[in-house]
Amino acid sequence: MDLIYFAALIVLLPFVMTLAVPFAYKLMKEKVGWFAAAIAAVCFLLIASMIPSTMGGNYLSGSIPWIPSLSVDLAFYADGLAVLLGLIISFIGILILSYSNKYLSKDEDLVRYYQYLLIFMGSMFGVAFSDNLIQLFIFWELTSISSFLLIGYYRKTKESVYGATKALLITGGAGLFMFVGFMFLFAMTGTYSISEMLTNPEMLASVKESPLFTITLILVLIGALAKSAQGPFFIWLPNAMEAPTPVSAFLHSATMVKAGIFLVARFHPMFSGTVDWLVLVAGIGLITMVGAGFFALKQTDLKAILAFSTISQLAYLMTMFGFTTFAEPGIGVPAAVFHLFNHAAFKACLFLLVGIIAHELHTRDIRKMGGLRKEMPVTFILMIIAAAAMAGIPPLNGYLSKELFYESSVHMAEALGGGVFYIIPVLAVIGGVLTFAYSFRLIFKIFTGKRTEDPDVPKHVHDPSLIMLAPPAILAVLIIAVGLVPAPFVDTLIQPAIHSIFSGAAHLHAALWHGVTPAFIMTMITFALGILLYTQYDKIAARQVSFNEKHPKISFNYLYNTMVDNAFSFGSSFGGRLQKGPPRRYVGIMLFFIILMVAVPVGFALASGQPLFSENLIFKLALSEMLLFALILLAAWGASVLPQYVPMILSSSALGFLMALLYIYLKSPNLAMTQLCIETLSTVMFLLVIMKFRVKEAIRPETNRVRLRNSFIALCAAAALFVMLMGTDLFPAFESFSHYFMDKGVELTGGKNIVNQIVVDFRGYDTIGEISVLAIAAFTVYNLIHSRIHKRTAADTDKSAAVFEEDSANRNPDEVFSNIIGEEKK
Amino acid sequence: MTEVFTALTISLVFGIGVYMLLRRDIFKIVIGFNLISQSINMAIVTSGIFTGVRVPILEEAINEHAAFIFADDFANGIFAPIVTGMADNPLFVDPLTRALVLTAIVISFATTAILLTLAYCINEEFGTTDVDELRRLRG
Repeated sequence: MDLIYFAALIVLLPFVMTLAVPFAYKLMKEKVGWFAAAIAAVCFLLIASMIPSTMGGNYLSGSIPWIPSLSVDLAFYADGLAVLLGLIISFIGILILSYSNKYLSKDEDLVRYYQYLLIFMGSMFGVAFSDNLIQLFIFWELTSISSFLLIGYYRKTKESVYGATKALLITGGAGLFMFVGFMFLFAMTGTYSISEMLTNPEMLASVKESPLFTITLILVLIGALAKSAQGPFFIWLPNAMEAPTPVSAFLHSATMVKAGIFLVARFHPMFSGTVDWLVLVAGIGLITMVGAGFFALKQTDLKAILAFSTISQLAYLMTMFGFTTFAEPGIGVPAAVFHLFNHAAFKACLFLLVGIIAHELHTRDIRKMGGLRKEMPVTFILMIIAAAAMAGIPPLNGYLSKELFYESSVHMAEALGGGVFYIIPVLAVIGGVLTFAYSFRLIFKIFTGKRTEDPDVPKHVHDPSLIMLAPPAILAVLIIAVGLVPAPFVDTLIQPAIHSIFSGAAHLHAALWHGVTPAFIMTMITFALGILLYTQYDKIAARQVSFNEKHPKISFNYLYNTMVDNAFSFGSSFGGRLQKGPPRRYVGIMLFFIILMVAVPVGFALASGQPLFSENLIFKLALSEMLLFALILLAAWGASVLPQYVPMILSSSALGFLMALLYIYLKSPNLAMTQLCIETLSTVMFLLVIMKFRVKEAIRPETNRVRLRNSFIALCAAAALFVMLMGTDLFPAFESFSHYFMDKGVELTGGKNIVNQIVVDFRGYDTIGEISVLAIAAFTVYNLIHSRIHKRTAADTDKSAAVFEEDSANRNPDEVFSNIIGEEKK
Repeated sequence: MTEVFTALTISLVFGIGVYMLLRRDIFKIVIGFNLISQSINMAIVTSGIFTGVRVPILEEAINEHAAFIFADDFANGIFAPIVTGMADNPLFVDPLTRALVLTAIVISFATTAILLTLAYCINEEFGTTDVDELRRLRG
């Protein structure tokens, strides 16, 4: 099969299957999660079938033209990196979707939940396999939107709405910066194709030499950093934890936040090896790593601890991708790719375990937990494995990649010339120490010590069912397997990805024992300092909390909240100032400009002595015509001055029927027919509505001053229209193209009525549009009235409403009718 | 348009519609809207460059007498628009404006329906259709 269809199938399958979820729900009820998991499994197998080709160092690509005039194609590209990310997404997807079966109770809106998750999965595949910048951007923003929907899954709670909005504003907004960066890339290279940019040495050289290089890098990085919650953009991720825990495990630890890292890896060949790259990527990475690790200490919410640890771990990845020296390639890239894989495994596992704990204990507050070891032994063991992997304890996978991280930091410092640059390994160790401390907090605080007595925590808890335990258990097995025998994983998955990012990178040697290397010594220091830090844990956390209380303004969250609040208040005050009146104010403004539009040219024409009207004015008026016009004016006048509703309506519909007569004079039988039907209908409609009107008190008539003002405005408008109509003859007319319809009409459509031909055949799409307008109007009317009825039945318990119901039920319509007229008369 | 009285009628109906649009009762605003769309439809149908006299329905063989449906004096040179620059069918009125207005009539019906329903809902909810009163209720 051609690759383009193959990759497109992977990307589109989840999207298409979204439509099938409601039907699956009808069949499977609360077990619908298995359906979604099956889709993820199919995608997993499809992606896995690409491994043989990527192992050989090949990549597959193909494209079909999409918007050829803008050189935008629908292009797919599957190299080692894309396949690795795709496998992580689909594998974690299978586990998460199976796990959700038990996590969500059957009363939840399951269809919506799984639909969102599938949309997310499809978008994520799109990000991984896109070979076109525009296409990549679209999928990129789709992941932001699906993340927004999933964080806001619990629509009723204020926190989840806040978290969802924050995530969308930050990640979606930063995506726009990235888009500008993409435009710069296009300007520099002249193509949107990513693979072409990255494989063409001339293009790479032209980008590196361009004066736009730094600004492009910054713009693209803003998108990547915001997505991966790095630097100042980290604030959205802790609030995103309002999402259901499986969602956090899927989006906000293992996959979506990796998209930023993925982008950095993807553009590594283009930007790396420069000072800008080193300072921006590695610098922001190091700062975020230490900062987020430090903030993790004070968190009391289990998921918040994990959120900050995710930020910190992603910062490891950023830093390692930043470590690409000029002199020698280093091992930054291999270490980063390996850690990306490992982090997905242990962090998803941790989230799933936290989900189990929160599910069983009905709280996520770590202060209320303790001594669960005996009640949840399986969860306890799994937690030890996952947390120890995060802390970097041998022989687990986290240990291997952390060693490599330390090694790459030492390499980097040496490559930069040593001296002050040894700050890099020092910062790396500090990051490791912090990770060590909060990882062990997760084990010891929850499972050991005394069982807490808290009213929120149930007296007896137990391990959950197999469905919830199996996914983290599978990941735990993976963690151990990678730790003990890394070679098969490295060869099949990691090495092809490394190769596709940076073909000059050193071969990855992952092993538990390298001898006493600097990295080994750093690990030992980490463990020693980590244990020391753990003993001081509570003191540091308390210090942080008290600092925050004293200085609430020193935080990025404060900045964000102020900005958003200001935007809201500015918007509302602006809108309030602009739109504050009854409708006539807007009508007045519009009319003012219409009148101005006529008055100004008329003024100029008068000043320069040009004629206002055509010279051969026709004052001739046949008697029949005179009669018709007089009747039309009479009807219009009646509609405006009659004080009661019913005569007013009748007068207005008389105008409509006279209009039908006029159309007959104007040789338009079709129009006359339509007008007659429509006018009949609208008369009925007007009367129906009037019948239902309940007028409590008659509307006070306008004062004379207001009437005078209104008449003046109306007169000006009428005069403007009159001048406009009369002036049309002064300008050369366009030649009508109706002769085309006349000449070709019979031949093309077989009809003889030309108006019919136009409506039904030539402009058939317009008519479809018209019909849709009618349908939409019908739905709107139905819903408006239906919602009223709904409201009224809801208010039935209310006494006055009940009285009214009875009241209106007893009266027959005619009475209501005459009552209204009577009231009006009074 | 050189027919003074036609233009005058259209403008007056339009002016009355505008006057209604400025009133306080939502229901009257709906009527005003209705009047305005009638006058604009009229303007479109009567406007233009046409002097024909025949309904734009083609006959198999064009029989002069059969095709003249409204061959009265009234139509002579006043309304009866016809497409200029048409050698073959010099006597038909322009079908395009008719087709346009046909659509416009139906759309304005839909708009009126929604406006009326809104007026009805407002009346149900607040017991009044006075714009100023509603504004006062909103605070």
